[in-house]
Amino acid sequence: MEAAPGALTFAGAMDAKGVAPVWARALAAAEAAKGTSLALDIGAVTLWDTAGITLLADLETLHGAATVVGATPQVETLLARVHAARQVPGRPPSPAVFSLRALLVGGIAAAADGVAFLGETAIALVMLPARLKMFRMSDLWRAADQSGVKAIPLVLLLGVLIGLILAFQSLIPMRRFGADVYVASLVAIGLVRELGPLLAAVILSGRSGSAFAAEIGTMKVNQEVDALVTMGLDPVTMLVLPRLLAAIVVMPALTIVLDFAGLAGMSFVLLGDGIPQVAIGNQIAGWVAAGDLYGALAKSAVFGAAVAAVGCRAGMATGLGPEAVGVSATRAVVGGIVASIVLDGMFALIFYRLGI
Amino acid sequence: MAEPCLRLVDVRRSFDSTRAVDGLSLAVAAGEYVSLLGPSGSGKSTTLGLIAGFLRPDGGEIWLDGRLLGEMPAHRRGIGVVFQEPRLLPHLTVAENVGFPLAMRRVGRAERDRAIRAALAMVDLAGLAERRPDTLSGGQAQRVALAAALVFKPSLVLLDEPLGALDRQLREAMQGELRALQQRTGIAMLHVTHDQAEAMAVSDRMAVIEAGQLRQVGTPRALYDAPANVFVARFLGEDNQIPGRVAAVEDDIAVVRLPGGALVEARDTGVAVGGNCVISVRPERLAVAAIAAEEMGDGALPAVLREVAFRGDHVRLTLEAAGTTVLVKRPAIAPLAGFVPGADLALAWQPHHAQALPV
Repeated sequence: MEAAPGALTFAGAMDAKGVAPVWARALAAAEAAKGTSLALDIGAVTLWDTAGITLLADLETLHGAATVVGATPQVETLLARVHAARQVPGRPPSPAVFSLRALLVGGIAAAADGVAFLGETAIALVMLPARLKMFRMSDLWRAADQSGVKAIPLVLLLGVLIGLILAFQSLIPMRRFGADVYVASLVAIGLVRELGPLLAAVILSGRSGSAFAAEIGTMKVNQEVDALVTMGLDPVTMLVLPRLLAAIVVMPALTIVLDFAGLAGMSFVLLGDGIPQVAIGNQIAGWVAAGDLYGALAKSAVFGAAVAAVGCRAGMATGLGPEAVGVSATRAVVGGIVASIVLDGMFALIFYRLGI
Repeated sequence: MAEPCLRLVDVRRSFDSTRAVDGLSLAVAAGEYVSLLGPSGSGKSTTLGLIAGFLRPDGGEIWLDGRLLGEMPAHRRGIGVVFQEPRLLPHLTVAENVGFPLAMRRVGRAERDRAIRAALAMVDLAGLAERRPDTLSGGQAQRVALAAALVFKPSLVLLDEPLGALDRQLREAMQGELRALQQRTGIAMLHVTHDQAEAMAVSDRMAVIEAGQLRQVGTPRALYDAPANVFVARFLGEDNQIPGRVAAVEDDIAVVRLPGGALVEARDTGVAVGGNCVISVRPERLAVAAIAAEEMGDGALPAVLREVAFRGDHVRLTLEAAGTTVLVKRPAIAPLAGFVPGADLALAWQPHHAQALPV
């Protein structure tokens, strides 16, 4: 190797044996030539291996602006490969990590969104008299038909089954104590006060909460909601309010249907056990007060509002792309059921405090 | 400079962890037709939603006619919007649909009727005023939507892939109409599309967006002839991209060493001497001849012809040169003597027709 100002000339064999003695000197020369031009003349090299190429690449990298003179195409190719191999790829994206902070931030953001949606809905309700033209009664009837009338067969079936199961399951242990006859009051109170509204809310959530989310979500994905907004029409008044009111109206009705179906199912089991119809009737009348039913109906109306609000909110928050609608529908069902159960717990507390 | 009609300053918007719009700044002058061009998922529709008011930006400012839009609701912004599907109210006639924005603005009946007639005449639909939207063809319905966006004389109209749902012939006819309509009305338009031919056909300026960031803004010709980066070069039209290393930069010409050792020249776009670069050159800008490279002169490359494909108005030659595949377009009337697969050719270009782009 010859070092002259502005040039490093290599000759002979550039294999591992050949470059080892000159390695340090070559690097020092390149270091010294930093900032000035440097030509790496390899025209007289007779033999190459990867060690030689690596030295050449090192010199180029170290100097920054060195030019290689006299390279054959093969050497150029090898050199390019060495440089390419050295380009460290960026760190791969770290896998999703569960972090408490992200969960908390996400939770707070979701809660804030929910509050904002509640506010928007409240404003839409207050402004309704001024926007009466945007509120379409036909949408209200359609939503009530979809989520109420069409749900009755399912509610009847589930009510009867739940009544049957509850009566049967409680009959076995109760009979040991000779308390068969109290099964009627047990199931009746459970159904009327808790299970009726709750199961109706679960059915509404599965049938209609998801449908609300899917309908509004599809409109959102198809830019129909955006189009309404540009026209100056309020999507909350047009799309959310009819569904919300429909759910509030149909839920108490569904609850009553479910209660009666459940009591019928229970009676079926008890009659089969030999308990007379009169005894069952007396038990129910003696233990279930009208206040229990009214409280439950009020509860169910609130559950209906919660399920519809969660469903519509999921629809309005639908992101981009067709799969987003499915995500929203799932979110609506889960959110609706969770909201109903949480509200039920709060009602239990309130009723207990009030002594109802 | 006069206040632009629309001005975006460092606008940002994220969805969950993806940055859909990432520090975007853009100005649209009054009466200008600008298209926002990018592949799907590049953030162009999000940008439109931010301007129209469907979405709230995480940061940055949006100015319209010197007013900061901020939290202003969409229908108060006075921006006309045309969507991919014509969004008409099905229970109203064409005229009522066009007049709907005026009705919402409580414009008087006489004035409203006059504006509706003018808007329908503008889109050549004067005869269909009493028809229902479901009796219209796709192109007619989209023109009604356009009339409804123009009727209240907005200072800006946003078009979100307005021709995406139409067939190809209708789309090309509508491109010409859109352009003519915009020049007649002088209303600034921002047209979002992923179709580069459409963007070139309609716009005064194009803004190419990728991953939520502007890559280059300029006239269609400037973007096509002098792309500033590899993405724009590849996204607009067909492009040859030949990798090499920058040997020197003189004035605005970069001397690039190709893998075969040959030295070629291209316009410098800010590449570093010694660094890797890509030479971008359009297929129709390449000269080929069935002679040896040395005979063609300095900067000519030896190439081997691999494929010849006749395409009616032009012939596409696929060559192998400098270790990569190079596409050449020649007018079909140019003679093809000696152009048989396997033939040795010479390939060259004018330095100012090629760009040395940093990678």
